[in-house]
Amino acid sequence: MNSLYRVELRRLALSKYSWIAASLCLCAPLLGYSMYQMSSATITTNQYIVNPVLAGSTIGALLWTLLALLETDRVYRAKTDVLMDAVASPVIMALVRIAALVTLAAVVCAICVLVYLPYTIVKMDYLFDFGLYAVTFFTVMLPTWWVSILLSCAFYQITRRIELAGLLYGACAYISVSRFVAGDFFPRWLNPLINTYSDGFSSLYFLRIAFYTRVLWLCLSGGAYALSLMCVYRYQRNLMFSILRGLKKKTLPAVSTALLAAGVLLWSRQPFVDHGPAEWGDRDDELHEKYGYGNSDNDTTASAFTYRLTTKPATGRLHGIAEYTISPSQSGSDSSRKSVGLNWGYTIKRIVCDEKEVNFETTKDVLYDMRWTTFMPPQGEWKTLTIEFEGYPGMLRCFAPYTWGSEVTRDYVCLNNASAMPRLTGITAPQSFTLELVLPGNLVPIANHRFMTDFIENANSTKTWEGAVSGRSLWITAADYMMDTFNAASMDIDFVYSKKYEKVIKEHNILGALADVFNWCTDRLGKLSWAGDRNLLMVQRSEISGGGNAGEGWVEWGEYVFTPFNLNDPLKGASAAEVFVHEMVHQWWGGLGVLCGWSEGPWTDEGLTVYTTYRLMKDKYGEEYAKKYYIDVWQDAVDKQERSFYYRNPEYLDRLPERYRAEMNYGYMETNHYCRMPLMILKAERLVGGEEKMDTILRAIQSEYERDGHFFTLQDFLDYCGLTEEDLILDKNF
Amino acid sequence: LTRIFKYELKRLLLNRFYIGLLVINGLFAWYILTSDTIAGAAYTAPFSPWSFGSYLASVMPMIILAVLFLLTFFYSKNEKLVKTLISATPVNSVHYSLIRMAVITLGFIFLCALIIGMSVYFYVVFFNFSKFSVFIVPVLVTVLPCFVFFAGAGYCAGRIHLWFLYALIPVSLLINFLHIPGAFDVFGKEYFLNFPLTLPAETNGEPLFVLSALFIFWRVFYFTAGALMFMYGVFRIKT
Repeated sequence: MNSLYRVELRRLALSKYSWIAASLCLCAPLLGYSMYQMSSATITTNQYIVNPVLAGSTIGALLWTLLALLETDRVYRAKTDVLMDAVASPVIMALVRIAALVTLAAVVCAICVLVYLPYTIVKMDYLFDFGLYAVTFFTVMLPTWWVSILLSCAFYQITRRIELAGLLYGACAYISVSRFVAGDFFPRWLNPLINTYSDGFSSLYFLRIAFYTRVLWLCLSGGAYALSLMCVYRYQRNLMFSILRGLKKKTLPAVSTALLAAGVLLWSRQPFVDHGPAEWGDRDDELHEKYGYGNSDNDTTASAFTYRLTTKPATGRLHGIAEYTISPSQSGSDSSRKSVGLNWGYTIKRIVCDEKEVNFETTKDVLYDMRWTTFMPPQGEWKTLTIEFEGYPGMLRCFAPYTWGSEVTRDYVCLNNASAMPRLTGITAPQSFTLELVLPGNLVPIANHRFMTDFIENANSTKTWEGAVSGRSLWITAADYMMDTFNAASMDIDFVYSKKYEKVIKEHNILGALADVFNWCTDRLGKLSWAGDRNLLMVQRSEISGGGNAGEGWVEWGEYVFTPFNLNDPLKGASAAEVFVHEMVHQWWGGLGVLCGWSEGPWTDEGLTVYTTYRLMKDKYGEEYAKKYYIDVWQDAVDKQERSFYYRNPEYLDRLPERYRAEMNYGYMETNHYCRMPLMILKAERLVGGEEKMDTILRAIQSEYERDGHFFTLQDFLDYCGLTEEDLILDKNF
Repeated sequence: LTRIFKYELKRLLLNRFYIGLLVINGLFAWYILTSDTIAGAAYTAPFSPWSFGSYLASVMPMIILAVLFLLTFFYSKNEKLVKTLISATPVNSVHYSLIRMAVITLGFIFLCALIIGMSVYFYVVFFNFSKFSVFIVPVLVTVLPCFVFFAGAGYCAGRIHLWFLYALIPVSLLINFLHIPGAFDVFGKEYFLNFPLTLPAETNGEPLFVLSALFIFWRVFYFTAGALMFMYGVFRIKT
């Protein structure tokens, strides 16, 4: 068999078809630079690694399929199959052929790595990482080619018709590239989904998923191929006879079944995306009813809470131990049912009251991003409750098409809510708790939007960070951060970003640009009512963690805002750098300033924030720019929404499957928040007498609003403007 | 002739390839219904004639592909081997060609019945919709010109050389992927997606279903061109 393999490989290497396929495969990544851009080209790593590899993967897979089909059909086309069968078993020949094809594909992939290496090094400059570059080729592109070769050969061996095998392959390929599975990592065998890589942080998150899906599809296609080997025609007899002959040898059915089962198992037990609803939705009532979440009236109060979290970057997993110490006055008095919610990817190892292990039960349902575990504390006196868990933080299905997963890697840790800390019902944790966080030695953590400062170096190149953290939930971001502190509009601002962005930040005088925005907003809207004892924290987060976000005293923004691509083209429209301005403006509308609350309707903090951003951009770039990138965009989105059948007839929405209903509702909500409301405010501006009058009103709102827990409502806004809700109804050409 | 028709019918349609094509077309049609049509074309209702026309135009390339695939049966190597024998029989070659085309047409009708039947099921289950008479015009302007044009072109191409027929398969797919704008699109998808946007909305928010003269012209053109190409193919046989 070895000698047959060598002969077949040599023959294949000398075939003109192989040379054509290999040459085209080498050219395929070129399309990723311009035409076939599956990931945002604003991130340098996407532009020079992800997109070329994805283009090379898909186009190359099609080329390898053509070659595989032609080569498999060759002996039948030349009518030499009888002679070949006399020399070697057709099954052996099929195995030899596939081995030669996958070897050739591996060689072409290696050449591809070398061919594009110099250009990528030059273009990516200091952002280039050879490990990531080579690994992406070999874990994404090469397995995709292999899967394609295996599937096409399997189809041919089953049908023995080249056009039919092509048709079946085409049908499978269509499913993979169709919109129907566009946001799903697992069915996309031909065009792997990598949402994005990161320039300044870790890219392992999506690489892990891509690698997992490739292994999954190698198992499935390998299984299909082994199955097809049983269909290889033997002794010039028909298909059924050949299958029966194939079944006699136990190896092929066993290998086929094992590989197919492994593929199915990998798919069904994948740790990345939950099996919950496709729509975020409001499910608080379910939380209240089933697990008592939010019903704190009869809660036992914990006097102290210590939380130890150990990250395991090699596997992306976490180990956590939460220890609650019950107030002495209440100890032993509460044996009512408790519930603990954790990210659906975690498994509770044990729950201990004092030193007694407690039985617990975990539901299979996923509610938000959590699975809930219920337990009954023992009768009698107990003073401490310990919950130990471990697992891989999985992402929500409704967020899977985007980029908001929690992440534990060597260069970046991002954990939010139930991914970061258990949510316990029945026991009220104290307002502040002790956090012990074990991280890779190069990372600096920010917990609940404050830097942790104290740490102990461990022997295994990790650090244990320890400190008091305020709040009953936990957000952790850790990276190789560096910080610049500057003053703008009488505010001290800590500007935190990845070390890899240092050059870009300095070259483009980002601090000056930030100060300009703060000064403009202070001038137009008034000074922020921030009276805390700490600086405003502005943190850059990985592209993988999504866009921007803002809260009381902090702003976070995705790294794409300050990529060289965006900064070199400031007039590219309201899409990139302006997101950052948007998040800063949130300090006036939201974060530190006026709170409007949240609803699915138009009135939220977003409307006023988008309007203010538009005004700032109008001052900076002129009226024409503001109209083109703001007013026209808003109007177009609102027009489309009002024309939409489901918007006009919402009763039909309930008839749609959950997935489509979620898509529609999310689209309507976005339009309401980011387009309809700003247009309504723009109309209010015109009705009250222009921009200056509106500035006066907004300043008055900022100075008179008292942040005592109540929200600033649409009616409040109308009262300030002296308008009614009917006045703000949008009509054409208002 | 009836016996030949039955024989060709059995040979062409009662085989695993045609059944496979039926399955693939059915799956594809259901995918289009539940991913595209369900959202409605050009902001109209999913059960508007515009959305239905868009659905037909979306599935038509796959059906045309099946028709062209069936046509390759007539020009295969095996078929050429028995051509001499067939030509020695007393069957009129024109009649024989017409019978074969009738079988292809029947195969096309079955495929269309499947995808239209699936859409009826979809509309009843999802939207409780039953006024199917409004779909007659979209069926006529989409299905007929497409079939006659590609079947005629395929027949003609196959007569010249089998490879021309094979070449027509990717060409038909390419036409679909090119998104040819306006009334010129042979499948008509772009027309059904874009033309309603230029029409005013009625009181119910939906634009009326009216077809432009240009669109009708091109439909008639494709129909006539297909018929002429088919006749040319038959004429070549006769000579």
